[in-house]
Amino acid sequence: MKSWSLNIIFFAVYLSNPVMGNENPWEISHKLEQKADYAGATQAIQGVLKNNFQHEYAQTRSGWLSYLQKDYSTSVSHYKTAIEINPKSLDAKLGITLPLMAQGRWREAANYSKEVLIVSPHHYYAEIRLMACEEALLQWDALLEHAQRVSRIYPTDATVLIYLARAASVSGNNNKAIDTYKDVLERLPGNLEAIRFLASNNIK
Amino acid sequence: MTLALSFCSNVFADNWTNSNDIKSTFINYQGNTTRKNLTDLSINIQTHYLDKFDLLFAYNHTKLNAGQGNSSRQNQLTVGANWFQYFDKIEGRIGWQLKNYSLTTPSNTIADITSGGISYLDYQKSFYLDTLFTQSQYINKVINDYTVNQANLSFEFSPRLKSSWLSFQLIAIDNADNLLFDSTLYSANFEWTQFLYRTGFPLPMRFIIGLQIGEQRYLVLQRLNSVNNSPDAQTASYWVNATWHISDNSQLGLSIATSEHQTDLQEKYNSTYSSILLNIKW
Repeated sequence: MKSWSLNIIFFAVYLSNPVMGNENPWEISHKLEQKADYAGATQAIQGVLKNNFQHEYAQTRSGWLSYLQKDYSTSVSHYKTAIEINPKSLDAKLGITLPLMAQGRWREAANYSKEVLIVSPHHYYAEIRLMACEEALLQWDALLEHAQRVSRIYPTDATVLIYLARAASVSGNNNKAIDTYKDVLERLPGNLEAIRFLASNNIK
Repeated sequence: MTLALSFCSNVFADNWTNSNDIKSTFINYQGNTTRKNLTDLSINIQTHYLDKFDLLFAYNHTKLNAGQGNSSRQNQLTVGANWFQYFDKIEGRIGWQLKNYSLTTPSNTIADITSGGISYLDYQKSFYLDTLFTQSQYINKVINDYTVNQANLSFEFSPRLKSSWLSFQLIAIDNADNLLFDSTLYSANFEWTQFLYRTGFPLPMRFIIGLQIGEQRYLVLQRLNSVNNSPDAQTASYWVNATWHISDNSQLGLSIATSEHQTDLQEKYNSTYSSILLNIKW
């Protein structure tokens, strides 16, 4: 009688634990990610990877979740595996730029961004990340030309204009930088960088 | 197929980048009877594979003018490698460095120098630490061969991120055989770097001011691939450097310095140093 009641209790606990129960591991993973439990979200899909290391989505998602945990090297490793499984995956090539940039590996991040842009010209995130790399690598001429070109394609975007203004300022084209920072404030009123730059040039 | 080859070639080209320096140096000595001036021409070829490792090959040719028509020539061959590993737990990059310098005259080998070390740079590039050990084995047929050991400890940080950089370097130099000097020599280098973020002229992209205190002999400066095999002590030095961003692929650097020296006979003299450096990347 005693062992029968214990079994009932264990079975109830088993059912109440979503990880141990039959709930879909993807559902668990997404729920835990929403709760910012990134370690738990990763753990939930470990079984999938254990059964099938070539599971592309599990690798890509593990790359993303590892990045959120600041486990950048693991993130790079998952994304690289995802790229090996599917060399056409723009998701994985864009994804891998994030941990690489976090580690200051700007050349590698720039290369992956360029690979995306070869297949998908003007891809917004690839353009923005490549600009971040160009700035970090002090490639001011390239950044000026690049930001100028992308600002024509995404004319309402403030981030592109900020890169353009920085490159213009470094290149000694102060008037261009002033005009561009004014454009930034039209799109993003209160942007501190633009306000400070204009104030330093006695412009309100 | 052509497109694929072109793409591979682009990626390959982007994976490997070259940074090459051509540098010309002139040092003028004041108050020294055996040294009038020194000229040095160096070529550095540094190849980077992404952010993973660097290979270095450098050649220096030095001519020392002793006055009265006497001069001597020296060649320096440097080979080296840096290898980087990324550690998220310490939020930074560990770098391993190994270099070998070979000093020769047209007829003899002067020295064989090996230097190795480890460095740490945080992901934000706000803090840097390194420790390097160097062993210089000099071949001398007159007194005897001798060995000079050098240890460096560098502590560098950015007081204002991306705007300035402060560097402290402590150096200990020891003559293992006590043939040259008895006690360990201690010195320190301090350097302030200000980034101006300007391209073209006249404003430089960065300038550096630095000073050295303490006594240095047979100093090896790994970062500059510089070996000073003069037997005299350098007791103080002050320097400034400015670097201009000509284009994304080229930079121009100018340096001047003044130094104080002392011979074993306690004779003091000064030197002024000037150099011009052209850096080209592809």
